[in-house]
Amino acid sequence: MSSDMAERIANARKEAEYLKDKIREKKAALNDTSLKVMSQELEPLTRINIRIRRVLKGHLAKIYAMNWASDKKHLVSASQDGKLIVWDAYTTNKVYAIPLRSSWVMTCAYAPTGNLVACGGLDNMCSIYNLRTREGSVKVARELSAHSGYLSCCRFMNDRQILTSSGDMSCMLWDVDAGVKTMEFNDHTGDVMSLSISPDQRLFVSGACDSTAKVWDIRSGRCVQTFTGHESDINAVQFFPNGDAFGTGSDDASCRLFDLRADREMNIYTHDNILCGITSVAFSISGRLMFAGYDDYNCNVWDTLRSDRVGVLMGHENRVSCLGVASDGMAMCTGSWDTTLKVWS
Amino acid sequence: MNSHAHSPTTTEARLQRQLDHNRKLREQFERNRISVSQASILLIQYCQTKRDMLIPTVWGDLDVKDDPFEAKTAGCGCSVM
Repeated sequence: MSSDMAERIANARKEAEYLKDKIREKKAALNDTSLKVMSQELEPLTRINIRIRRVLKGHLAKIYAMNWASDKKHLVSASQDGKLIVWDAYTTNKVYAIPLRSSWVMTCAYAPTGNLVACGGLDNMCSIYNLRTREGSVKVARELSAHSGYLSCCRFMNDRQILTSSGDMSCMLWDVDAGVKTMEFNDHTGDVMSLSISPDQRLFVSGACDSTAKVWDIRSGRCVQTFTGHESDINAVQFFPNGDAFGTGSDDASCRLFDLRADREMNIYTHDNILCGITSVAFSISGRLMFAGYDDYNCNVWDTLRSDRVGVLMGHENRVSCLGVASDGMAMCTGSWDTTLKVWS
Repeated sequence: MNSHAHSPTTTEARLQRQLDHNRKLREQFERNRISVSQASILLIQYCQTKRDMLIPTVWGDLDVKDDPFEAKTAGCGCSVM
């Protein structure tokens, strides 16, 4: 190696150390308090009167995913019985029961228009189904294939664009009509398990088995922020309703809140007697409540600001694998390995 | 004799990687961040201004007629005694 090169590399390394120190200094200066301390004066939330209002029975095997429709009434669920079921959550009627080509499904999504649903899993593909065909039957519209690992999560931006995350450590943006990938998001060093799109649709956040959460600019494909703190796989991410923060759930038995503008972890939600992993997280419409599904069959309800646990929703006989809050904030739905979904309000 | 025969391409690649890494660090350094107190205030404000029907102690109870999960009686609404 030439001595010139050696010198340049050494200088670059020194610059890196200098920058890291300066970043640490800057961040420390802004760390003037904590969200928990700032929230101390708020009234603690006492009576969380959330109970089971509907039980959706019909799946024959473990439910792995669910997603509410924008109309707040319908939701789609995916089970390893090889079916996607679209439910009317008010009446519990099954509106569609869609047989899948691959039963190893891990995720599902409802398009905002209600025209399409999507799912994917160990087949490494994202399959799009058209619910509103002219003939009246549900059909496969597209099979989006490019990931080299399992599909862990998919979320529609609109009828034309869908985001996916994968065990191949990447996320992709697809043009549904053309059936092709239009952007690839690479930076994670572990399986990407979950993603959530910001309310303004400019960004999305991903959580991965590398214990980090990353925020991406959808148009440029760049990773704009990385958040560390979790000590194990992040299984779930969800934007806080204002789009400036997001919640995470991890195998390290904690949920955390990260703020984009402060660029740091704001709160941690954990308890000494909680030892199992979190599978799913969602916020109530004001963001004050954070619902988290756990491997120990329960759903814990956290006060996002004060970090108190304000409720334990016990209703399932096996792991809570997924959950979501409807867009009007009136209901929360949990899905479980016990083959049922429960709607709480 | 040079016993560390690094090919020029790998050392160049190493330097490039370090420079790319430094570029990202510089971006991180230049990023504008708000303080924890400012971020907290913004989060608290949002929670307090958005009506949340899952928190009746703060926002009031839902009227039965507004509750989509209350079973609505069809027809005449009579109940059999």
